Amino acid sequence: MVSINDRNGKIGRAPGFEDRAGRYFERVEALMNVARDVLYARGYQPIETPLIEQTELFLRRSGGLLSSQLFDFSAPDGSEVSLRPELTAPVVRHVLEQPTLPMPRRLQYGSPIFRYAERPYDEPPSSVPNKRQFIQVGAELVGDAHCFADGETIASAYELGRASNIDQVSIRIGHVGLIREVLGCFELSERSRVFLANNVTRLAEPDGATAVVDEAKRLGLIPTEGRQGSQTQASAADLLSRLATGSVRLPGSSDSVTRRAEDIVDGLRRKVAWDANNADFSSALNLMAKLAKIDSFGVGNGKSMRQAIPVDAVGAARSLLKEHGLGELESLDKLMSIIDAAVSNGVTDSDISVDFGLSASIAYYSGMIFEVRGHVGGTVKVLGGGGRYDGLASALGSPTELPALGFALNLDIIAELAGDGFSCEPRRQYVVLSPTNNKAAKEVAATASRLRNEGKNVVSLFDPKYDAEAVARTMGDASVVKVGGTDVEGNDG
Amino acid sequence: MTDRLRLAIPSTGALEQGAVRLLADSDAAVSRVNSRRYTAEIPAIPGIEVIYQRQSDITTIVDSGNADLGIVGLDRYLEARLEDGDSLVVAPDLEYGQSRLVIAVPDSWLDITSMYDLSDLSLEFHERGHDLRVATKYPRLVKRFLNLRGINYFSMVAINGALEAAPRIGYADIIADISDTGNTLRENNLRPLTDGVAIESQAIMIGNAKLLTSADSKLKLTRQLLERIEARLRSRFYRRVTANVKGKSEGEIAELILASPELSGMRGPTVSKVFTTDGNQWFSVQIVTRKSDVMRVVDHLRSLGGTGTAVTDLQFLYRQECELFRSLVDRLDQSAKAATEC
Repeated sequence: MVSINDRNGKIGRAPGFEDRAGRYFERVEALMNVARDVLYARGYQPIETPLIEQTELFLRRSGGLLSSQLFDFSAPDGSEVSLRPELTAPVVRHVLEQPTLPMPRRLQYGSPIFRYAERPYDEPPSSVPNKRQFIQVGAELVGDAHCFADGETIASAYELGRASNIDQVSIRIGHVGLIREVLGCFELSERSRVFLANNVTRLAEPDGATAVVDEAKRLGLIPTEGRQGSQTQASAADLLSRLATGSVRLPGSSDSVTRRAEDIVDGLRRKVAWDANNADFSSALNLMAKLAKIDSFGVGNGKSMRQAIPVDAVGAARSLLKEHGLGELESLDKLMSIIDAAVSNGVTDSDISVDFGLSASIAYYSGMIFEVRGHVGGTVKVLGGGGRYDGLASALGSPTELPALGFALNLDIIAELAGDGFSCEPRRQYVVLSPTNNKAAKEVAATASRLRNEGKNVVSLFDPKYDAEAVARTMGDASVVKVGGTDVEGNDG
Repeated sequence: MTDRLRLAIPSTGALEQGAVRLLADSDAAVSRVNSRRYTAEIPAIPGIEVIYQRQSDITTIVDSGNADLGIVGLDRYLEARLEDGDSLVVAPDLEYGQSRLVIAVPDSWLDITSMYDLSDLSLEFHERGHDLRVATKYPRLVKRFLNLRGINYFSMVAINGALEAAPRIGYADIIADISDTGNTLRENNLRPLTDGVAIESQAIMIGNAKLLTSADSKLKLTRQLLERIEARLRSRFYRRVTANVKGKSEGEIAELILASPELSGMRGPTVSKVFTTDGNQWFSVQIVTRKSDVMRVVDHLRSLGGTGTAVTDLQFLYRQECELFRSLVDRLDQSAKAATEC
């Protein structure tokens, strides 16, 4: 929607979208070139995917938050499409469309993405609504399952940040796969697994466990006092037995024409079975609450970041899991290998920390995940992140499992942190031609042509009413040349 | 641009009745020549023009600058507000018009009791080649709510009439609609999901930031209106307790009452001498207290020998400044500052 911002009918920008111009444009372009070079050096080839994709592409595995932020609409032919909210799924789609090319594939991008975020209604109107367009730079490595590929991906993101005039770049690593592996050791329904995995970050917060328990009770995932099972599940079992004895009958199907009685009975059976398989919910939640609080900083009792040692956090996690009767978990060993691989690939070990409470905002991640942070002065900002998403390709239709991983950084945040100190390409030098009278336009054009042939960049003004000096100021260090009659006068001729 | 303040209120339904009652209770009664006329005045505050509009249009009218203020349901506001509009919430709770936007399924779906169940069902539907169809008048709020609950495969069915019939007729599977008591849902064999409340709503007052700052007179009129409404709403939580207490002096009575500070009123008791014919020393005590504390205050006064205790409603309770107006001015300043910085 295009907004009309004043009562005179002047059309403003659509909310959340910005024009990029002047020095900012140049800085973003320069950073894009830096990113491209960093990734070219690691063999990533550029790709530009369409701005618009089928909405389905982003619904299959991306999760609720991302789908709530889609700019989705019906195309004139009625198909459901979206502006891309991220680039990983489009890149994987592209790879799947070229099955004959050898694996692994390395692809890089630097393109705008679009996410809809509403201004909270209790905030005052302002001219700065939530941003809805961002430039993502990133890379995807499809077809490589080796832990050194994880390490290299982390190192690429790290190097990209460091090449962008940011004082310090740090990496925080978590592991979605470990969380799933731990939850897999408990007798839990799939629904409970998803719930606990989605609440890892909340569990890491002070009093987070209490809030998560309350929500689990509300959703019927934890038995409430005085009941054998959760309210909904007990009802399901009760209803099934009463249906069997005939003491209750399914309500008339006239209130819904889309589901048959058998579908509903099947649904009740599934819920009863699910309840029987959810015995370990509370113990799983307790362990997850402890695990989520482990990070490199907490383990060292107030160590500064420079002293943080990832191995401490991994060791603490290992001890905790042992205490709870869980043996050696594959993901934990993999995590150590990934950290080693990242260091071997050039990440300074003191810039890495482990955080088991880290979770991803997009649901397709399946293994290691990481966050890249930029530190400038006292400011710390998350530049982006990435991780392994081995299940995405099959969710998008790949006949075989395809290991894959990648990262994306927000170039707007990098540009903001990099500041004006970032060395852009030197600005072009311009000559501004200004006519001294109303009849000099032809002479201006001829002079411009001659100067361009001499290799100069020229801005032509054809009317003396324009303020040539003011125009020159907008062009950096441009010089002004007056053109009139047969004379050319100016400060650099 | 006019210096008058234009207030849009709903033209029909419970929100209209509630708005008219609230304004009347706030000594700002609306004077409408007849029910067919869509403009009215508030004689107690000259300069305010009341316009009656459909509730669903009020947000747009305020956003687009055709009214300075509006009374509307929070649900309608969130559904219709322009993201880059100039509207803002002036009073977040006018204490009437409470309702909930709920997701409701056919009663016969015994296996679907929570949003998790619905999420599973939407996937099941999708695998069978069709999406879960949701009938609602609130597509924006419902879409967001469903997405955040992990439900991605659904389609919206826009209906302006009675939604409750949609599942029975077959042009939707479930509905998302406003429910106050749940009676209408039950009567139509529909059942809200346990965690299916998309939003809790109530009547609110909204305003147009640009218009309100366009003339001092508009802010002055807004302050007059908000002062009355806020004082009226606040007064509902308080009562005045008056009793006669025998004693030696005002100071002694006050000291006895203040021994229980939590029962001695907002600032403390007012104690004044009662002139009697029997020669006894009686004092009249007045305490303004929270409604919930009235009986404790009465008992406290009784324990001091209080008699003839009367409890009365308050009409208005003003504080040192109008909090709603202060908050509005602060946010208008923030808006102006943000606009300047941009």
